[in-house]
Amino acid sequence: MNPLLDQFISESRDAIQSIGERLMQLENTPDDHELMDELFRLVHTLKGNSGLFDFPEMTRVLHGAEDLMDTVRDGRLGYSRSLADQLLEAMDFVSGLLDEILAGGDGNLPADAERTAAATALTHSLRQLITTRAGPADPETLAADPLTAPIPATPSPADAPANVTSPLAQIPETARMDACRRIFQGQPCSWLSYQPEEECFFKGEDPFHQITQLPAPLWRRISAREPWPSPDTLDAYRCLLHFESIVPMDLQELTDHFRYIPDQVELTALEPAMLAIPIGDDHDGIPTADYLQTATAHLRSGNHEGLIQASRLLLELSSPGLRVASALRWLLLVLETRPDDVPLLQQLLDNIHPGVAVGDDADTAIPAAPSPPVTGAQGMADPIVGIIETQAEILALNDTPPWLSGRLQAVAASLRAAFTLQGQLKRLEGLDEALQTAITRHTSVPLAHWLAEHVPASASASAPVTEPATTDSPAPIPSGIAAGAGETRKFGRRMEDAYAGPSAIKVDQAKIDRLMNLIGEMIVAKNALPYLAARAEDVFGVRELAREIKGQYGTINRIADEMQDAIMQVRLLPVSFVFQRFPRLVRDTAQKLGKEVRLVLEGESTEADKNVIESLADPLVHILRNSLDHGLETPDERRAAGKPVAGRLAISARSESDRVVIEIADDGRGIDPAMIRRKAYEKGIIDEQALERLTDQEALNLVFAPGFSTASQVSDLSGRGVGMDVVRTAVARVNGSIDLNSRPGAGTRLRLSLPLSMAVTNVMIIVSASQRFGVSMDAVAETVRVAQADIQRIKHQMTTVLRGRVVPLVALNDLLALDEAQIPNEDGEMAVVVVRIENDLLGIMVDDCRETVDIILKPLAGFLGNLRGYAGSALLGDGSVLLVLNPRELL
Amino acid sequence: MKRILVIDDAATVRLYHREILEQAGFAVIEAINGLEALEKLEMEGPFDLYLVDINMPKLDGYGFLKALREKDIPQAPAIMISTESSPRDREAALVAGANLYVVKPIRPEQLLPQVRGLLGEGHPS
Repeated sequence: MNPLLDQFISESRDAIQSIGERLMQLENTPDDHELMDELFRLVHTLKGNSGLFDFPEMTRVLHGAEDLMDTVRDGRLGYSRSLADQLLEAMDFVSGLLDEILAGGDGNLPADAERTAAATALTHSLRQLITTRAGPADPETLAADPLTAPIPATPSPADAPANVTSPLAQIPETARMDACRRIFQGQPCSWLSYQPEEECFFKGEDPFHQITQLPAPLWRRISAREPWPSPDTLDAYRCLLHFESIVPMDLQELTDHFRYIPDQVELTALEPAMLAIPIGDDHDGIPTADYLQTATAHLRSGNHEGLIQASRLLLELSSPGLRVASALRWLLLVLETRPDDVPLLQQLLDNIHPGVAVGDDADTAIPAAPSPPVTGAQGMADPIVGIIETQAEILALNDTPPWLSGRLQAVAASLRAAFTLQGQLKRLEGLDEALQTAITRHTSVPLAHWLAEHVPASASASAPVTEPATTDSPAPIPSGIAAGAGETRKFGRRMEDAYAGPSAIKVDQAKIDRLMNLIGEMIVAKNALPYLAARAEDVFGVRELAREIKGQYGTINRIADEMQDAIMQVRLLPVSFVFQRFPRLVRDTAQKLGKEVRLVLEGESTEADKNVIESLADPLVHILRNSLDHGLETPDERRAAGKPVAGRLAISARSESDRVVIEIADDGRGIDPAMIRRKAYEKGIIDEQALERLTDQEALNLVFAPGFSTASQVSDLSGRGVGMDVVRTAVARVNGSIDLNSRPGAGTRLRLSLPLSMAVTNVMIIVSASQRFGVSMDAVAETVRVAQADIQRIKHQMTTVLRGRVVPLVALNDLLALDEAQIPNEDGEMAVVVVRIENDLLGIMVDDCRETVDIILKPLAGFLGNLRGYAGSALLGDGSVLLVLNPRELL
Repeated sequence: MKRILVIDDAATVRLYHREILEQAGFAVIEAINGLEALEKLEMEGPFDLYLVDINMPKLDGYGFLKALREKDIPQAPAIMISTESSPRDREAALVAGANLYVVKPIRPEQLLPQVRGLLGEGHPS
């Protein structure tokens, strides 16, 4: 895809994101003018950018949004929810278009009627907001406002004739016949009626340009929609023109040409029957009765020759200005080209019937020639002439600002360039003197005089639109002669060494991921060096070499660590990356549920690894939905409970050593442990015994049990068959933990604790049944040696007391179903790895605890993937494979 | 090579102008708002031509032009680029110190002759 489009899409996405955020902020501080300005500018930029491409629907919608924001910014319209809704909807639409463009790949947006209709509807509703709220109250003025006028749909050919008959009848017969002949020859012709909006000039539209861009018309008329006012009250910038034209184009092309302003044009594909309208005076003295009889007979029998003869005869008898004559001319035209079009011939014959007035009154005579050409404000004039004229205009400004001298110098520089380019160097005589005088006397006059003398044609300097002055043919001249070019080099570096590079670059995520994988492999590879050193010493007996390898390992180790750290830094993302979606989500969801919610976000700048942040998104959304749906009460319930009507939902993030902690707290109805117990029992998650034994906190934790869903009815929002167990699984997958606190009536708090990074895992190597296993250090609370005498059996459970706390013990060999007893060390002590699962401690007896290593954990794949007791496997520096245990799942 | 300072807060527009102007053999320096433009002017200026957007954060196009014209440096022409074609906006731009007022969207065949005209370089069309 081309870089410009790339840039456009990425910038647009950023802008849409920011617009959404600003709108949310505006919801809290609706009078913040700075915010409004910023919002306007964002929409404005977006629209401006879209104009560089051919995405008419996008530009249209954004234009509507921009106008709306302009109204808000000016204070003509207050901020409101429905306004935010409209704007958000518009942004969603634009966002959708961006997706389509991206999916297309070639930067084109194929025409799509549905999309066009959606854009029209969206723009219309945006505009309606402007007029219904900001417009004057007087209904008559409202009606006159073109913005409120209903937007006419492009007429379909079926209902067109009725619309078109009367305007078409006013077109000179010759032009219509011309069009008719073309159609008979198979060339399409269309009717165009174009009424630009009154403010169109202010929107950068150029109606005349639109019209002149079309192929040469067969007929064209430009008229005023209302009588021109007297010159002193005339508002030259209010467009009151009405363009009508017969254009040799088919309807599709024409519709395409006007796709930016479909609401301002009426377009119709022309057919002969629409054009064949006899016009002229009625006259009784023509003997039509006989003719009609003969003609009808000829028509029925298919005797074209006879019909032609009879018609010619009557035409000679009739005065050409009569309607009869007109009908006959049409008849002959059709007979010459399409004699078998019987319905059309019959229609024309019917017109000859005396007394039938079809052609309206002849008083609405058509001006034979179109109005004199209107010059577009930005005419196609010679650019040089335009430059010189604009400088004249600047010199005519009647002010003396502090920067006048700079302005005059710039004007002189512009004139010098323009004349140079025209090859009129001799004209430049006296310019410098005039400039100096002007600067000294602090007035534009001397320079204006000089210009008037040297360019007589533009002496009438103040006219913004002047007919292009006749200029000598511009001859290209070597640029080296450019006067004054040398003196502008007084200071400043040459451009070659002054490339201004951006201070931040955007990098494809995949590249960073690759870098991360590489450094991960590097860390593992470096772990091979200590093994190598050991082998050098033990196997080959070269202690010296072993020492050198160890020394080298130290260096590589340090660099690898720093590298890993640096890459981690690159991968760090602020949690706002995920949080930024929430204001909109909460707002929309709350609205749907009829609840009022105040969302509080804290610690958005807290950073964590990209993978961790990304893995957070779905669980958080789910938790939020739960809170909104089940946690927070409706305004009525809250009022009854004596709480503030608006519920509070707070999401906060903070770093705690090497972990990120995210809390989601609401002040809703909380979770009732008794209800959880009952439900869990009903669903068979717990048995009768547990029903009584479970503490309240343990009961609450049941919401994380698979198959548990607290909602008694599956709701549209949170009940998607996804329970909190899925949330817990997702969090556990990134080595995170989740816990829940709730006080009935007071609210619920969920706490997620996640590692800052998950690319490299620090594991402890343990030995059991002569095999090595790994345990993630995140799970290890401590390692202790417990004398066998200190192990007690309570019922069937082995336990020991650690610092006054009873800790259950299990043997790893039992957990793994290895048929061997754990081996104590020489002092008769058992090695115990104490792991923390949620908030409980558990001692796992192993044969020995060894060192900790950094590894890259690869999840078990294929059939092994079902072995849930293992978090995954890793390659050790000596080439062996280490199985890493997942204590939680082991139990 | 003539150096043109393109001042616009929209990266897309800057890129667009850069492509047009660089293909035509000009050197392009970018600034994302009026304030940055003044900094670039201090560091690397003056330039041979300024392409100035109106609506920008921090310092808008009018503000930049006025500040530029008040500076005691060799003054070069400036083109104000706007989305508004109203005579009011046009006059405000000329008052502030623009030498041409051009309405978006800008097509290369429209912009280049004007740039060349103001630089006195190359064939105008």
